[in-house]
This record gives sequence, C-alpha cells and structure tokens, in this order.
Amino acid sequence: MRTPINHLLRDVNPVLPGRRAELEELARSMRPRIPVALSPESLTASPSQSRPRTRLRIAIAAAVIAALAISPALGLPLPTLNFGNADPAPAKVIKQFDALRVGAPAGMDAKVLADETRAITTSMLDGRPHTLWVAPTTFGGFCTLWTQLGGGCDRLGTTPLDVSWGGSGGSASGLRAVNYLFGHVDSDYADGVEVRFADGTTAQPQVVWVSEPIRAGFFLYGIPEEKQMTGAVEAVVALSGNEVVATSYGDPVGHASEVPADAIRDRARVIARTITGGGDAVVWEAPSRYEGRCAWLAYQGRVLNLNCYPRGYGADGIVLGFMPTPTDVLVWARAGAGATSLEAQFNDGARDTVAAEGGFLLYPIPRERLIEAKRPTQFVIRSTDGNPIVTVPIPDGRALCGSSSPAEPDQCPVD
Amino acid sequence: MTTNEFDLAFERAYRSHAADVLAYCLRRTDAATAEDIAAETFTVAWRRRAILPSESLPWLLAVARRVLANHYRATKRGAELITQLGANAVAATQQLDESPPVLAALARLTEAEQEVLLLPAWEGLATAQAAEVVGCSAVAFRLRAMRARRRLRQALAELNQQDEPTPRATSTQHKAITAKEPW
Repeated sequence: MRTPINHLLRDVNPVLPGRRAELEELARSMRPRIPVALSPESLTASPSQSRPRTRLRIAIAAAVIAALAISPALGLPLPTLNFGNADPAPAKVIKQFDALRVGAPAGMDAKVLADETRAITTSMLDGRPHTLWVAPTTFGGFCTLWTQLGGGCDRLGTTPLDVSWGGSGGSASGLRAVNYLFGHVDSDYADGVEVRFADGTTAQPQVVWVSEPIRAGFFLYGIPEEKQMTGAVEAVVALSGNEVVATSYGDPVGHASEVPADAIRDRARVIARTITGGGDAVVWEAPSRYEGRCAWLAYQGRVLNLNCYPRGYGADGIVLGFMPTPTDVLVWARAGAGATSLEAQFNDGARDTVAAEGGFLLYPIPRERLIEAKRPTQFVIRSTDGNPIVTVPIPDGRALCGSSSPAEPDQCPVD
Repeated sequence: MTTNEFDLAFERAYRSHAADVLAYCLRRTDAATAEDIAAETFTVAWRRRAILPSESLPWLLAVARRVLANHYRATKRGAELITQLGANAVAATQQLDESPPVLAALARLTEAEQEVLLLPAWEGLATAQAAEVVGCSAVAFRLRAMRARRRLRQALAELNQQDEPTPRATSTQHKAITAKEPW
C-alpha cells in the first residue's frame, strides 16, 4: 500500500520509471565498457556495430589463426581468438599486471582486471619466443605485455592503432636502428595493419584478432635487416579495406609541420582565431576517422600538428608552445585542466592577458616586444578564479624559438 | 553450471537490470559517475558470475551501493552525497514547485535511513528485496523503515517550523506547506 511518505518520495524520484526506454538505450551505449563476451544476439543492438568494418584479408591471418580457437560468435567478419577460451595467465604474470594499479595518479589508473589476464599468442623474434599477455580493464579497454619487450594500456579501448618501436642505439635524438615493432589495432575501426617503408615497399604483419572484451588485433613484426636503419620505416598504418584509418609515424617529429594524417580535413572547422600583424593564427579541429578529434595550428603559411586523440581521450593537461616565424612569435597553449587565461609578463614590467577560446590560448607577441629590454620573461596560465595553474619562465629570448617549433634557428625573430 | 551457463546467467542479468542499476546510480550521483559506477558494478558481477543469484537485482544494487560508497570515500566527497541527491532530484524531475522540502528533510537523515526509504520508493523494491540490498532481514528492514519514516516526518516538521516566522509567504514556503498536507 502506498503510504503518504512513499507518495512524497516518489514525487521527487529523479529518474522516473517512465524513462526506462531511455535508460536501456544508455545502458546499451555503456555495454562496450562491460568486459564480457556477449553473444551475437546482444551485439546486434550495440551501437558499435554500426561502425564501418570490412573483411580481413583472410590469407594474412590464416597462418596465425589456424593454431588458435576460432570463434565466429562475435559476428566479427574476422577469424578471432575467443578471449574467454584463451589460457589464463600464471600468478607471476597476474602480479605484473596487478602492479599497474599501484601508484597510478588519480584518474590515470587503467583499472586492469589482472586476474583475467590471458595468453594471446607467442611469436618469434630473432629466434626467441615472446608471449603476448592481455588483460581487460574496467573501462572496456585492455593492458598488454609482450614478455621481454614491453607493453602498455589502452584503458578505454578506443585507440585505433598503437605502435611501440624497439631497437638499439637509443639516444636523445631517437633510435639508431629500429629492429622490431609491436602494437595493436582496434577491430571497431580497422581490419588490417601495414608497415610502409620509405623506399615505397610495404609489409603486412600477422595480426591476431581477439574477441570481446578486447576487440583488437595484435602484432609483433621483426623488421628485415636491410631496412632497420633510422628512417627506413616511414609509418605503420591501420587499414579498413584499402583506406588508411590511423597512422603512426616512425619519425613523428618529421611530421610535426603537417596537418594530422588521420584528420577528415573536409570537415575541419575553426575553433580559435587571433588576428596578428602577420596575419590570422587559426586553430582548426576536425574529426578523425576513428571517432576522435584532431587539431592543428595554421599561422603565416605554416602548420603545427597538435595531434589526434581517440574517442574518450583528450588533452586534459596544459601544453604551451611557441610558433616563431621570421617576423613574429605566436604563443599557443591547450587550455585543459580549467585554464581560462594566459598572462604574458615582460622585462619592462608590462603585462598582457588573453582569454581562452575553443580550448586554446593564442597570444601573438607584439613585434616591438621581440627585443631584450621588452621581451616576455614569463607566461602564466590561470584558472577561472585567477589562480596560476602553470608558470613558464623565459630565461632568454631564444627560448621563444625552441626546438618544438617548426622554425629554423636562423629564422628566430627575437633580438 | 558450466562456464557458458555462468556467462548466460550474467548476460540475462545484464539485459534485465542494466537500466535498473543505471537508474539507481543516476538517482545518487551525476551522470558520468553513474555510468562508471554501473560499469564497475557489472564488472564485479561478471567476475563473480559463478555466484550471481537467479533473482539478481537486489544483489546488483547491493554491489552498486558498495561501489558508490567506495567512490565517495575515494573522492572524499561523502558529505556531498546528500546535497547531490537533492540537486539531482530537482534537476531530473524539473519539479521545482513540487515537494522539494521532502528532499531537504531527506538530507537530514543518515545515508542508511535514506536508503531504507528510497529503495522501495524509488527503485520499486519489495521489502524482502530491499532488505537484501542493505544486508538485513525483512523484519529488521521494516523496523528500520518505520524509524526512518518517523525521522523524516520530524525533519519535515522542523523545516516547516523554520519557515513560519517569515512575514510574507514565498513560493518556497508555499511548497513546504503543500508538502505538509499529506501528514
């Protein structure tokens, strides 16, 4: 029987029973985050099924997959290792995955389900066997570990292509030689992986495709000896049919002055703009081919690649950089973490402030301030309440023409 | 049961109650956190699918309740729970002119007292099911619910008394008076 108290409480129910259909829809969108092998019937309703997915070139994978339990249950048009049937990991490996949870900063814990770790495949590299272990995360992603090689986490499971480059002769400027590479490709967006060499040749690593809750393909590729020198591997690409979905460059710095390759450029829009004496500085944003976002900065005919982020990931932190041209220096910053303004402080005591627009802070340093007596000495990024979040000191004028910018050293306009 | 049967049992529970668990979370926290808590709840359910009861809703809500409590402990926002509860309720129902005093009164109760009132009223659970969620017998639950109702009535009366000295009736006071009528 309905009592008056219950009546009153029901009247203030914030989620009324009439919203059930809406909640079921919301729960379906939550479904990919639930790490469980769902049946084909339940997958039919999953929104992720509407994403374009083309057939794998069976021949590439057949040799690898033949030894694995093949499960067509997912409805994926790919020969797939059923994660639930894969061999569980021994305690030693589980402990390694469990360690990923220890000491992770707030919000960075992948929440790996270490005791669900499974053995995915064993591949040979230089005559040695390497086993791939994979564990799901609470957020619908996974963490990986190749024995003796390394691994990582894609906590949300939305990264279209992730490549780790291994080699020898490590230095500040990179690897002298790239001997092997490994990584994963998201089966929601792609059905193949291709290694592209600078000489125009290509190679197709064998990919082991894994079912829910992983929904990804994994590869380990030993680079032929004659192509191991730096620069020989131009890129690894994730393919959907013949279309490139995502790109990982062997030399990302060499592509820092390009519009991100994964951006759908004809859907780009301006998200921030500032007018300068040297012309407009514009931040463009475009969707990527994998439900993410890409951004780049265009100024005086130059481009600065501000990277692409997969669905669910973003540039939450603050990044500040300089874009010098022969006549000007543009200060730009990603205004994550609640940043709302940028204050420039100068050698002569003057200050200038700009507000964030479209998640970016753009400040063209006035030309008359590109001399030592008046140059910027510090940039302060502040939050809404005016408190400083990040302070970047400028020890000397040349710091404004740092290595992160595409300008040549002799083009630095600062005296 | 075999592994496959456990998987099927889990899937049945997910199909039947994902919306219920999500609604439970949405009634108690913001939308983004609610999705996280619901996902975490079903992660726990999946890992313990071998012991998932056939009537799984109370069990799932009990897990969600613990996950939510852990979340608040972790984020040190326990004190905000009650405030959030009221804010969510107002925002979601958009019934600013209907009975908000009951939320203010509810906020004066302990979390345990709130839960014994809200499980039947908001989640639509029968006494035995609600008792399972909070981990007590049905008899004990009835006693707790009775005490909680009494506390809620007292809180509402106190709130109404606080409103009385104001010389001119505002819309808030009018709502308080309206809310008092069923008593």
